[in-house]
Amino acid sequence: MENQSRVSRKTKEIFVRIDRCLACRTCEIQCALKRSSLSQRLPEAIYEKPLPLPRLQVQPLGEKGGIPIQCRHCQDAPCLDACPSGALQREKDGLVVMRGEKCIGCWMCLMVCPFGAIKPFRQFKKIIKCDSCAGMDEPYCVAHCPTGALVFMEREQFLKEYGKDFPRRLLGHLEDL
Amino acid sequence: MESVRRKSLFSAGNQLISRAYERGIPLLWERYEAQLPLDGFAESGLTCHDCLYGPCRINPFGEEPLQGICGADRQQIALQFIFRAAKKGVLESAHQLPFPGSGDKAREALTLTNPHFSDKAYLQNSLTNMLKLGSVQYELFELAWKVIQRRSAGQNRPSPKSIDLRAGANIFLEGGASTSLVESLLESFRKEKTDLHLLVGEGSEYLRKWGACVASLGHPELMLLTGGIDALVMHGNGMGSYLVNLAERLGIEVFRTGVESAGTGSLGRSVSKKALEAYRSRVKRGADPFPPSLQLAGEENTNQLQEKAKKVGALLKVRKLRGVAILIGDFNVKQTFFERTSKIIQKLLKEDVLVFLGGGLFACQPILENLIESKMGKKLAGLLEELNKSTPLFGFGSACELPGVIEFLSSLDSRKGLRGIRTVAVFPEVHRWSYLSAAFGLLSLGIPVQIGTRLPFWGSPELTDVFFKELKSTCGTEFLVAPSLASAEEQSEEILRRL
Repeated sequence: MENQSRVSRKTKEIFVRIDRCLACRTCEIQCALKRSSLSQRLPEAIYEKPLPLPRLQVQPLGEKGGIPIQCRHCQDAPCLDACPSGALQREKDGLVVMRGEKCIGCWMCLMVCPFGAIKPFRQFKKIIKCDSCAGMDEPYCVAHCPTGALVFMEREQFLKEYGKDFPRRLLGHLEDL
Repeated sequence: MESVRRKSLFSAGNQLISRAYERGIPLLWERYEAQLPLDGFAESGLTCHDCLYGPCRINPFGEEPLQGICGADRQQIALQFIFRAAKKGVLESAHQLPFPGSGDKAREALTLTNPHFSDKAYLQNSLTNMLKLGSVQYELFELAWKVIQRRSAGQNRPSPKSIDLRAGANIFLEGGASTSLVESLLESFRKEKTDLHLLVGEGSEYLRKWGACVASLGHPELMLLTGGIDALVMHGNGMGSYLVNLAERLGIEVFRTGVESAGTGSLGRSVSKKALEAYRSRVKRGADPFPPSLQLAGEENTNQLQEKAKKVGALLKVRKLRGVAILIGDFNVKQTFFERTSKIIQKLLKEDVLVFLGGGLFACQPILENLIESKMGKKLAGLLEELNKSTPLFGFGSACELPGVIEFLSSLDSRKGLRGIRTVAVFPEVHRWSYLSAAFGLLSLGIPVQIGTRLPFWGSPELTDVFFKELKSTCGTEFLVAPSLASAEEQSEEILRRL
């Protein structure tokens, strides 16, 4: 499937302030509860079959906390090219979303995603991925992050608030591992 | 504040909450909202702080991590959580009275089976120990009951049905207080020839025998917000700095006290002096407390019932009275205060069930009686008429006085004692672990127990499954509680099925 237009820079994105992430995984739990569970509550969700799955995953960074990984809605998304059925599509707002009815569970997108942001939802033989809670004011993970590590804003605003050298600081943080 | 549903069934309470909100005073509900969402791992009982390897957590959805650093799985971690909660519940009350630590039962219960090194029997052993911890809590209550009986002999002071907050100084005792302090305060005001109302809420109901007035609007903060409190005395087990901060903000003098010891005389005099000043200043300003008067919980009336025990027992035997429900508990911010409780009470009364209220529910008994419809079953109505009782609920005070109720119930069936009476203990809403260990104590007596608050330890479905089967075989009765919190209607039906 041919890639569509570039992600609009006006679109809000989910950013991680890595120095604030404690890897508590509240974002994972809330995502699973709000987006994948029927009951939308703990502990009922623990008893559901299949178990709810979060659409993001916190990658632990040893003693430095962690970094939540969710779909980046890449400008040049390899998953869009890899999807044979057209299940993955780019919306007008630039988000890469999955049309569940078209997904055939081939896992091609999963293999090509450079971030490991796509996960298999085996019970349904489909994939599951973050869609930034499209249509909502704020993604659940961002809304419920207890330390404010996850933020949802436009790129320019993020760089303005957290510094243009943030990417370099992030790399420096990761290099120390 | 806006996003939280109706906070209390009591209109006075809701009005006070709204006023506090308008004044920008944060209360329990603001602090609750700031905590949302609650820690999902802890909510499931899947965090462990038992050693310095961790703290660890287990993924509630079955993904990694599946084991703590020591190798404990979710079954073990969730069980340990419940066990620690029961132990904490016992210790919550222990400071107030001599702890029966010298008894074999207590010693045995507190010797924890170390799950790190034991064999597969740790589950059974831990469940057994957990019930024993509940029994230890019950022993503590029994001891408290004996102390109360001994000390209060000849000290029953009749208390008015309500107190006018304008007509006298009002001192709020939070977290309990020593009886000598209570007596010292009353004595000081007698000398001043001024009325004094010593107000107590949840957990301190036993002090009414020493002249304290039991009243509650559902939460201690609301009592302070009435504008009618002239001094706050915080006992060692008092709810902490947030109440002190609120008192200081409202200009209420705060005093701290610890154990029953020397020095209560001088403390009593200091408290009295400040409270008197505050009261006189309030009168001079023409300050108008809201609500202007507080309804008080009634005197214990199991004595009345004891006289009629034979009749009650006979009615129970021939199924004319359906059974007895003991309702104990206090508020929980996650639920609308007393909504669940009042629905359950209403249903039970309609079905001819004798209802006893204890703990924080006793403190709110008058308000609950106003809220519930007076419809009750004919047989129950007949019994109440015979007892010359105008209200349908029986209150027994603090959990420390639970043994008195058990004593009464045991006397209803001279042959089988407690096991011959259809009884269910219900904890419709709670927030303290001491209620959980009281629940285990009642379970160990063979009384089915139901809890109406969502409990934070269902993280292990395997444990959930074993827990209920093992507990039934261990104590021969039932723990009516489940991961999914049933509605008040469903819980009422569940209670009635067991009566």
